[in-house]
Amino acid sequence: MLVLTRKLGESIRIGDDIVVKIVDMDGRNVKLGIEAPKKIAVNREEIYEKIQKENKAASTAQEQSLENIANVLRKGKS
Amino acid sequence: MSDFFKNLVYSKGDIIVFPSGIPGFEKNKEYVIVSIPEYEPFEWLVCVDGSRLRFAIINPLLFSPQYSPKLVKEQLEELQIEKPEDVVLYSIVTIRENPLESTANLVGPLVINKNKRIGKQIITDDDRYTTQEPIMRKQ
Repeated sequence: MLVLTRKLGESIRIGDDIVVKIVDMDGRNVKLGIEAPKKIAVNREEIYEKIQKENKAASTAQEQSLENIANVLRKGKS
Repeated sequence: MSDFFKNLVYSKGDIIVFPSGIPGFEKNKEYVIVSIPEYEPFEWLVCVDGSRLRFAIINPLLFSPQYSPKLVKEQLEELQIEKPEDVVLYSIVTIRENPLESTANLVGPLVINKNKRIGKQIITDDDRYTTQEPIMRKQ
């Protein structure tokens, strides 16, 4: 991992079109401004991890259990 | 019944390609959507690369009628959408130990161009929704 020291207001540039700027620092929090093409998804790492984790949990779906809730849902409707 | 994944019959034109896979399963890129009456209103997103990977999915509007995730136009670029009618949304379902507490992921909808058969799980930055939205709450 590349580690760089930056001061408030300073930036780093990644490739041609991504700029990460230190916008504010307040105690233990650092506020980052990110300029990137909109097609590049910028996500908080913990949200990405949460989605990964949820997908892994979902991948163990049991057919029988799904059939059970499907039955309940259909009954609720009719 | 559960063996239908093994003996699944589909044609090449049924395959939906997820160019980046989905988070956690980045290498699994080809899926078909399987609808079977026993599981309605759920469907299955079944990976057809020889792995036994599959997900239960649901149209989120069925249990969350107001659902309208913020999708960034540019993030949809790889889906090559030409008309809004080509787009279908699904949520991946996580079946809980008590199946009635099962949840759907509304933060990361599956967005599929059914015409071009390209799919992507988009991670929305939308704090109105959670990754574990109860499916049964309105029953």
